[in-house]
Amino acid sequence: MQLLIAILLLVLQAIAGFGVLCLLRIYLKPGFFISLSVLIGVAVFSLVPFLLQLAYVPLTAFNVFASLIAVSFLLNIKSKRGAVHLFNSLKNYRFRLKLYEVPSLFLILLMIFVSVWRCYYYPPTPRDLTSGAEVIAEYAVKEKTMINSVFTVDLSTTNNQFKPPFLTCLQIIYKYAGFPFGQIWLSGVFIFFTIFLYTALNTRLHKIITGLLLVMFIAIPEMYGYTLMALFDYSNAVFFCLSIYFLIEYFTNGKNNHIILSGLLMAVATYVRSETLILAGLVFPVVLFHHWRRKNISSLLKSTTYFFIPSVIIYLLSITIYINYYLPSLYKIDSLLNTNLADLNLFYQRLSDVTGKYLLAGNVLDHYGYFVFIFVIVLCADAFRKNSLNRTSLNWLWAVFIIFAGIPLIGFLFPLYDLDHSTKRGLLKIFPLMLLYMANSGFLVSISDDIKKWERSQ
Amino acid sequence: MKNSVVLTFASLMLLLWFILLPGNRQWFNLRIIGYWNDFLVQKDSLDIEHRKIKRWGESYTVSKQIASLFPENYDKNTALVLIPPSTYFTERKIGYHVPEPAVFYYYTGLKTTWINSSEASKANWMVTADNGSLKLVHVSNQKTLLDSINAFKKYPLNW
Repeated sequence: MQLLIAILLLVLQAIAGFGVLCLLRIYLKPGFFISLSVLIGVAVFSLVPFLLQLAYVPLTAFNVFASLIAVSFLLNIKSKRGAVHLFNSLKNYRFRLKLYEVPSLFLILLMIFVSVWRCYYYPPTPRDLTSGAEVIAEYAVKEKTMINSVFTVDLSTTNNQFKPPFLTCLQIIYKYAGFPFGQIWLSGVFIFFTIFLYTALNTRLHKIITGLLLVMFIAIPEMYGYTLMALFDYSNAVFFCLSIYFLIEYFTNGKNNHIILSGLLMAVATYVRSETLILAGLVFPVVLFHHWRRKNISSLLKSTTYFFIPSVIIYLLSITIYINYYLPSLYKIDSLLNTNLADLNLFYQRLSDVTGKYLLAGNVLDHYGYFVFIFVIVLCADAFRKNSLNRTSLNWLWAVFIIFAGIPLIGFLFPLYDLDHSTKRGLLKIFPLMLLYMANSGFLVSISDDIKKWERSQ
Repeated sequence: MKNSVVLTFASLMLLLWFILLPGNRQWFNLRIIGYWNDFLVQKDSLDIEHRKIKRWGESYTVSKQIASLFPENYDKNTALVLIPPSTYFTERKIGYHVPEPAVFYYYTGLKTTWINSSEASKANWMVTADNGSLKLVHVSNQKTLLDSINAFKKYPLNW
């Protein structure tokens, strides 16, 4: 029964996300279309209880599910063309599983299954969740509001009640749906992001390389841990990566709907973790550079608006308005800011710690496995090989650099963003970007082409 | 077909090489094979309470035990329970990692406070322990409460 409910929720999420894509007239290959629909649907779901709360509508099961159903179908008022496109794509799609895909797919499926089971079986564990989003969600189900008795508890040991309500909302929905520990929505994010990445990697690489890279990516210890333990950072990494993906698509094809989607996805990433707004700011020079080369000021203004406004709006709603005007306790974010911004030593120190302790030495194997080393090897191969660095791969490399410098910068601006917890988890955002850099690496594409040629030769 | 078999073999070898790398071997054993073996057992014990106890351990069970000591004729919603630090319980042979008030409330529905909080002086109940057993004491005297807070302060708060 629970399996059926989980599937029904996934279908509803897919419908909602599909509607958003169709409203933006973005029609993709089935692998992208379906996976992206579910992921966007999760984001839509996470907003619905929050908006109900902002309107002081009681969060009863009926109100929540009626709103979810209504929103999912309302978003599909212009989906006819998209539905026809998807139907035709699926009709012409011939599923062919090559024998050499089986070993990596088997391993990927095993890792996914184990993660999904554990995510379902155990209750939420991280203290950041149980002292914040989870306890608020638990009592929201009992008291029909997110502003509930939790705020009458002594909260002097935590500030987790002030985190944006992305997780709280999803926990509420899944608890109402009959999952006492909620959290299984995370498996949906994990599965469909994996499908998205598999499709993206397959675009240019040979399936044998795709499979191997994806196994390496899923087996990043810290990243895998957060596919079975709900917290903010895995979802944040997913939506940040998707935003960058569509921004780079926009750089390639110049279609406004791609940068709008990129902006919306960045807004979702900001909704998951508010400090993502700073990273969005760091992405800006790329947008600026793109338009500066074309000397088109009106396009620049338009792109800036499309890319930034959604993130700013969601930040204002979920942090400024919600915390200051809805929550009963006070939280002064400016008091968390580093007061000595002129002293850059802290930034250099954090950058050095991130590199020396987590990314290239220290505990790198325990936390992130061999993935960074694989990335560095591929990057070196591209750097030394003639014409290997193309525009798309350079864009992905820039995105990697943004996280590499941006996470220490956040630590510099907000000293509470510590090295061993927040920074370590914040770095999860860098790995999908590294993976998609490798998906466009001239070196790996050339090997893939050679394998494909050899494969066809007999 | 022949090429496909060669590529399958290559794929297998590459995956095996990756799994057997020194840092990965243990991770795969613990996290994938280990979790798979856990699944084979867990699929037959789906009781919610059992899953909570397995995951949260004594932090959860002792918190529940404390909540169960609360007399039925008192209103739980008006109670604020002062809980000494974990080290206090360790000294009294009780393995209890005291969860912070928000987590305690999540586990039990009972509001608690710690000795270093400004709320501590508002507590109207207090947990004590002796010879491995727990007691929930009603605080009717402010002086007793303040004396207890001071006494508990010699136990460091490490969490």
